[in-house]
Amino acid sequence: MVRRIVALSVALAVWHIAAVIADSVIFPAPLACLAAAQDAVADGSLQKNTMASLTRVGVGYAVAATLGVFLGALSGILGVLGLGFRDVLELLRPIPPIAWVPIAILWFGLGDKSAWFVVFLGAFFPIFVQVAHAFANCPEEHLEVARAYESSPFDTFVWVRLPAAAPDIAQGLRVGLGLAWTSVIAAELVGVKNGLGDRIQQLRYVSDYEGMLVCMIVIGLLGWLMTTLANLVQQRVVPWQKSSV
Amino acid sequence: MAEIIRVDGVSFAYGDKRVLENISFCVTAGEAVVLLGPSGIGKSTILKLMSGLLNPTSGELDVRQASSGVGTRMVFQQPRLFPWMTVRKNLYFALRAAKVPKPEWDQRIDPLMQQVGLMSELDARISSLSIGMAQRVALVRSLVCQPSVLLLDEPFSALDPKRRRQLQQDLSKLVSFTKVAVVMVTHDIQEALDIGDEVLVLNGSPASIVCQIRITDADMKKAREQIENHLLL
Repeated sequence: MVRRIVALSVALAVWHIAAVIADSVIFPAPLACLAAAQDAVADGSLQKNTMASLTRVGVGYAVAATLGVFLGALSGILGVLGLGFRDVLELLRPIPPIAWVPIAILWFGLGDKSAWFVVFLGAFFPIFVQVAHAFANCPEEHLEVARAYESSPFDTFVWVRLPAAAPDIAQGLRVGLGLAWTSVIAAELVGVKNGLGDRIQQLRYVSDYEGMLVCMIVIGLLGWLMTTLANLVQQRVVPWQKSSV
Repeated sequence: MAEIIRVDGVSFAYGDKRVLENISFCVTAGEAVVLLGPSGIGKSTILKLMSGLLNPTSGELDVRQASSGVGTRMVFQQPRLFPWMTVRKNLYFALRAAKVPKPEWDQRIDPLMQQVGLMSELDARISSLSIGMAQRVALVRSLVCQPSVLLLDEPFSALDPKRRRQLQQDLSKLVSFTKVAVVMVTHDIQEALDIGDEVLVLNGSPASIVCQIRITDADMKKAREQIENHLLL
């Protein structure tokens, strides 16, 4: 904790000194940003846009998590069939979410639906891949115990395969959440009328650089908060394997 | 004594590689049979065949199931407990798999856990157990199912000499308490002589039984010499 406070203080000091040296409107100082943040909170625009972004993440991520875990588990268990499915998805996975934005607008029009779709794609692939890998690679030593003890396929799934995959599922969900958050900002830069991404774009048009930086800092803080919360949940749900972060 | 497991002319191959050739022996109730041989010869494969994890290429395996329990249960070299469960949940897993009615679960667990002195660890996480404690829990996990035959795949090999002696004593206690028959695999001659009522020496490639000694009747020194001679073949 002390390390973080010191690191943050040093970063703020460096930022301040750099802004003073640059002496430019396109490189605002931290104190100017603080004043802009106070204004944005006072007029409610920061809260409204933050909520809009969070809601989009909530919807897109919920669908991605549900489908990613379900299809990933199915693909991992189905052996060769599952491998074929993974081969197809592996071709789509490297496409960055932002590249889907134009086609999302074409398919779903301007508005929330296209943003949900982009968030869904951003989160779905890491969740799916991690879950499929976890189920496909359940340690043989555990499965052998289940077979030696004549456990039914259903019991083996519930008591062995699922908990053995749980650390990887949690890891996939955590990584997916981070990518959902970055995807929503990309989706909001075009195609929607509110949200932090859209707000950055609007403020750019009126040259409000302090306001833009405030939105960026909020994006960073919320992303950090989500990862931290996901880590805590991961450690609580799968205490037998500590988070890798 | 009633015969509870019969292995009759069993051979086994992994693909083209013949591992076991014409293995025959039987185990009677309450008896301890030890399969002794060099590492990697196929001793564990015999246990996997007996537990149903593998099917023989030829020959027959007949396991008589106990009226209130199951045919065989296996204890592996490593405890192989599920780390996401407590000790109690690991034992419940075995009982659930054996389709034992739920009200009986604790009645079966408690006396065995008392025998190995681990009652206080029932709700402990697996990561908090020492390797010796974990192997004792693995023993109890197999015995709560009340098998006709307990299959032990070098269960002491991961332990230091002191813990090994302790676990051997616990095993003896549990075996006399449950009257279960035992088939154990080891490459340690002394361990085979200490535990076995009968020792079957495996050697050759593919492995076959080259020597069969009843320890109860044998002079220990003579039995050891006989085993050593067959292992050197």
